[in-house]
Amino acid sequence: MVRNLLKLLAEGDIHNIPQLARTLEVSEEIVRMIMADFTRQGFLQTVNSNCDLQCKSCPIRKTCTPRKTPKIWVVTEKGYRLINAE
Amino acid sequence: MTEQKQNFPVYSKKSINVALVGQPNVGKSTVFNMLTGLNQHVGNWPGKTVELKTGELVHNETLIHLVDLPGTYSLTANSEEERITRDFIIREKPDVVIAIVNAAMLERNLYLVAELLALDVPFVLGLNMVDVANQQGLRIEVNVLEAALRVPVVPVIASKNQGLFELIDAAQNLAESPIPLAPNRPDIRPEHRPVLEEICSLITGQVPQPYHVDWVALKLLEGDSEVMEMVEQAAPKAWPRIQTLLSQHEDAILDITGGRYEWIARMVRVAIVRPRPGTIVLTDRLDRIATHPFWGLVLLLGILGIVFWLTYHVAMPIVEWLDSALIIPLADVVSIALANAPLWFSRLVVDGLIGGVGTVLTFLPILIVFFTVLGILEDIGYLTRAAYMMDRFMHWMGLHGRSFLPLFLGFGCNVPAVMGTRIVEDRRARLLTILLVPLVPCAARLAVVSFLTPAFFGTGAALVTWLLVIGNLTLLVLVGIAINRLLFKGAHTAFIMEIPLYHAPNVRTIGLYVWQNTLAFLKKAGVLIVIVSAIIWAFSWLPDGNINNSLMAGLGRWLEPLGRLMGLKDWRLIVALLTSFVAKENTIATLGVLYGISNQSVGLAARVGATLTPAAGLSFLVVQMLFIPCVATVAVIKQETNSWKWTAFSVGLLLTISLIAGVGVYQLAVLMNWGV
Repeated sequence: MVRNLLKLLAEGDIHNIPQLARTLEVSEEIVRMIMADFTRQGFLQTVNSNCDLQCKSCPIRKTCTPRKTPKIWVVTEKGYRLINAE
Repeated sequence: MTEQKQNFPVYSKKSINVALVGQPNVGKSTVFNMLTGLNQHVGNWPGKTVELKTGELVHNETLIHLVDLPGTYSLTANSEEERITRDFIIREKPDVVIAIVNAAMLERNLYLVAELLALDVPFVLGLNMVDVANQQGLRIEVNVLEAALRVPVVPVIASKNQGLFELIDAAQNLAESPIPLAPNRPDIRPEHRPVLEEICSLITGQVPQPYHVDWVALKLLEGDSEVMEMVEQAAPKAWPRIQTLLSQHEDAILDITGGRYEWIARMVRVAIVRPRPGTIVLTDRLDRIATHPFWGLVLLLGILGIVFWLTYHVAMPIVEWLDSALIIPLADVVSIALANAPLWFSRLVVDGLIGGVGTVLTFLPILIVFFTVLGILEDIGYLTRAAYMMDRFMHWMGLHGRSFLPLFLGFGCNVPAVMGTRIVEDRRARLLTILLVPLVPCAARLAVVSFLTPAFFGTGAALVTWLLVIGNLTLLVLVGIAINRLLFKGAHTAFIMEIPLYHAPNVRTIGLYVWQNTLAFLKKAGVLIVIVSAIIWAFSWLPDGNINNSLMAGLGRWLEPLGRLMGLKDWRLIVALLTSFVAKENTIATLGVLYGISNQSVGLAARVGATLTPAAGLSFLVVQMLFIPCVATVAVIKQETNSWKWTAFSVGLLLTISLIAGVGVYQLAVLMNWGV
């Protein structure tokens, strides 16, 4: 499950937690825990909200409002290395 | 039956050691407090700044030594708390480990359980807050969970003292049982089992006691740096091969944690019946306001306003009453009793020592009110919401939301603010918060500024005061960013904020929280405050009892050239700043003595105002706002950091900032030809 989650994230599409939980057939809470774990281990990285410069080209810009920016993760080099280590 | 030890001091024949473990916010401290009451000892782990709590109780004629291990999310050596918890369980080998989990957040809490089971210790699961879980519509099948885990599971509502007897009973039975448990442990996924077995065979017979080979091999594959270091030293011949295996199987960690998450998912699937989708529970309703981007901030500011109101309307009258009913009469009685003693001795006792005790007493009602409110907010689960609301603002300084509360409450008094940093879990963030607290102008600093500013600036006083406060807060942010970047190299600990469910506060837990924190202040900071107050008094008395000829005055005159850079050409102003170290209000009292005018008199402010130009007045106010904190704040900084180095750094930092700001403001005014 954990490996599949990292693979899904590394595929490059945009995912959200409810959809990932449905795909992996686990609860959203478990997905949140794994994402937090991945972040702590350095396999994922949260993207800072200082992304104004890239805003125009951002595929999820419509989800941002002046008050609320969604929490975004990206797979790090270490994360890709683990997936490719199989 | 379960009783605290003081009721049964004699006839306990057996004793067992029990360790309490659990993630933060699971009610572990409530369980510990309920079981041990006042029969507990609070200290620090040897050589660490992490709090160590031990206690005792007698249950069925067995003396139970209970250790409350630090709250931790996992057992990987990420933090000091995690290292302490796992080292204690491995090395001290308690007879039983009781893991407390929050029944309403079982999934999240089971990760630690999965790691604990790998340590192969007798284990009982305390399923706390089952009432909260029920409120959330969750039904936990305790018997099914027990059968699935194959360890004793006891439902508990610690805040209502329910299930604790059964919990201790289960622990005692387990400790006395000759049949070892065979718990259902998480397994590593098949892909990496062969490599785990190879590592096991390489280190068998070489792992130092009391470590288990299986656990060490698992931690090596997880990349645990502490365990790797241990094995490198213990098995130097096997190490190169182990290192090769680890680098070839870097992805094994995915299969180890994957095994744990699959195990959690299985446990939860069999033992929890969830509410229908779409059911809105009480916590969700309350959180619609408490974590709302706008109304959440309004609520937070309202609650902080109530804390200030309580401090001023409940604590301050008690402070005044203590002063008039206890300290002043005591000083009078001692003065009369020491009438025939040498004058210096009489004044040392009355002004130095009793004055110091008075300072300590002044803080007691404030601390009790502060810690009561903080304890309630933490116990009901609001503090985490407040931290969540302020998190994004605090990130600018490399801090988390939890640091906001003590910083904001520093406006009332810096002493409880420094002590309040105990709510900040991350050690680096806590240290940074402690260093920043003195830059928040406390009520006493503001009182001095409010007294003097009208004399310097007339109708513009309100604007100047406001600008001074804004200046302090701007400096706070800049200093925070600078310390974080330069000293802590911009380090930012990964942080997962768990939002607990709301629940009713427990009087006993809050009472013990207030008692322990207040006692810690009296024991450590209180003594230091009295000693330093007496030393400062001696400096202002020696050699002949006249403050104008005192050592303090000599120091003021010696520092006069530095004062001139700030426009302060009168040594008396420097002495007033120096004596503010005892208490910020002393600035006014000292000026009153040195200028020969009662500090209650409006004439004093006018007289001081007349001796200074507006530029020098502004410089004096800036230094007053930024000068080193009072002795009580310095004492609690030492107490909370447990380090003279960081205490000296804090004092040095404030001294440097205040002098640079004072000189800068005055020289800028001179340059602009304003108010000189």
